[in-house]
Amino acid sequence: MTPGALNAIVPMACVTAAGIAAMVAESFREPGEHMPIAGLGLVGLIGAAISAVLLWNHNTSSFGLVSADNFGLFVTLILVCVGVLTLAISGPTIERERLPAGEHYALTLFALAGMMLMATATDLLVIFLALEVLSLAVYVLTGLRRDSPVASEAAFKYFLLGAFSSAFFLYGIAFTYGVTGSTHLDRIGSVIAAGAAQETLMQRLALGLLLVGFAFKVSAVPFHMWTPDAYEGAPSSVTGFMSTGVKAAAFAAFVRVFLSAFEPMRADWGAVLWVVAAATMILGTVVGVVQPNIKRMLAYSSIAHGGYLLVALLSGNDLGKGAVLFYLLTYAVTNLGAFGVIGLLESAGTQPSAISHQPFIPATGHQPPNDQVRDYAGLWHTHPMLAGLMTVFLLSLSGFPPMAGFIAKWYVFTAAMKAGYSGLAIIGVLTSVVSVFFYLRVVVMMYMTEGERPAAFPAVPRMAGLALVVSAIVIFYLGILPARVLDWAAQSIGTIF
Amino acid sequence: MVALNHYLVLSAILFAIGTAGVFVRRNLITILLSIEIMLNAVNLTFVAFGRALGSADGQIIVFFVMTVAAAEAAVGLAIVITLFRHKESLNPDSFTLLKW
Repeated sequence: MTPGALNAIVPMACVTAAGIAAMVAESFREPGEHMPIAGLGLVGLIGAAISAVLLWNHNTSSFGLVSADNFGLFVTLILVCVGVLTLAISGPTIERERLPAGEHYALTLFALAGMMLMATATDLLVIFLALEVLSLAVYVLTGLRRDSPVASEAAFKYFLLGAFSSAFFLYGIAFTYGVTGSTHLDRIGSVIAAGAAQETLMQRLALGLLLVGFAFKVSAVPFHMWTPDAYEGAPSSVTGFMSTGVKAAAFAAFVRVFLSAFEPMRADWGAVLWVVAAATMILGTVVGVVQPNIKRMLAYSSIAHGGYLLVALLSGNDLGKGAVLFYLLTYAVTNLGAFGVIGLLESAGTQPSAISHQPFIPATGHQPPNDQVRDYAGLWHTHPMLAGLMTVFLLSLSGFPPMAGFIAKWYVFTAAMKAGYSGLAIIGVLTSVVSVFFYLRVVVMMYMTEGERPAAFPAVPRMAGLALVVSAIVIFYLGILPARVLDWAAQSIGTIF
Repeated sequence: MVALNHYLVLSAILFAIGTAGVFVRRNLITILLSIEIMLNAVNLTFVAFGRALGSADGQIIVFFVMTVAAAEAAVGLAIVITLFRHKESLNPDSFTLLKW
């Protein structure tokens, strides 16, 4: 073993170490004692960011299983952003739900380590293990509110469909191994390329099963059923975390597997993915329109955004691959911001009296307050700053020009046009227009409708407020001056394909 | 002599049984067991391919899969217990707080 053999896994090792530290800290914490456990996580994430920056352009590989190429490092950096924002915004949710803070942070960090591994792994088996590491942590995070039947139900549905899809994914790996004699992506790619003319049935089967597994994880349409339930039932900060982090990691692996190893079989998966992408965009948007619950609405919006990412992936040209990375970054910052605001508002409802008079939240019919779209009525009058930030996030999600969401979508559709998928680009633009409707519904609620609830707002915690303002600034920066980040994205795809 | 195809057919049958079990059975524990059957069908596939290819990789992968399956069962059963505490029921049809 050469001295540098472990370099590629340093970022995830930092995060794992922070996760273990959080776990240990929690076990030494006296009940009721406040410990800066989120700070520990922050240190680990900063370590991961620094090591990722140092590894940039070095293209190091550990054991031939994990490769810290620029593509993986770019996704790692996106995941660091996701992690930092999640740590910053989860404070109010943890307070309100009285979640076990140590477990929450430790599981978040372990999930992040799994995501980073998934983004940098170059072996199907390691991708599977990373997928399980992150999924198991996220299942538990979803059901962390054990006293809430909604959360338990959401966790079980997510777990059931997640485990089910993992079995399909694994079956796909088994057939790939059988056909190519290896689980390593490079070797799979060369074997498939060599025999591309005579594709066997088993090879197609392997491809299809892997596609099913990935489609579940990125919640593409026939396999999206778990998404709204899991997103609605989970605590808001966790919803924000899993809608962005899991998506980023899954798409990174999806791109790596399909655009490198299975690229020679594009004729087979291209057509399927076309239909899936179109259906995902349409269903996500259309069903999103009728949702009264804002978390459920954003879940469908997240399905639709998965569709746009699939379009970028399907385009497969340099522009498309760069667009995937840029889109993931924009989406992470924007969506976490939106869920940060939702988390703050949820805490608003119960703050004044409910908690002090009710030592135990009754187990039956416990519905998190303030998560319906109508609860946002009159937010502008009671809390203009929060309303303004929410507007920025929602407009960016819908793709309004000065915001980052616009540039991201612009690149996706340009890539689709260049690759000859003009049909998909048209569907994408149309669904974006429709999606403006449901995002604007919330904005209209906030500004133009009078709220009936009293203006009882707790002070916004400084960390969470800062994180939200920073994400809004990043959204404007990426929207107005995207050139530098797009350059990085373009550089990073150059290393693997 | 048992050829590779026999193993593959057997594992495909097991996988199908597991898949059907997830959809058909009306007990959360049985559904979890069905997922275990699916994973073990995959294990059989790995072992069979490993032997046919003459490489140890397939057998080694099975150890990883077994570990993952154990971890998954632990988390899954824990979630089932929290669910059971709310409804005192293991029938998936009784969990309807969230629209499917």
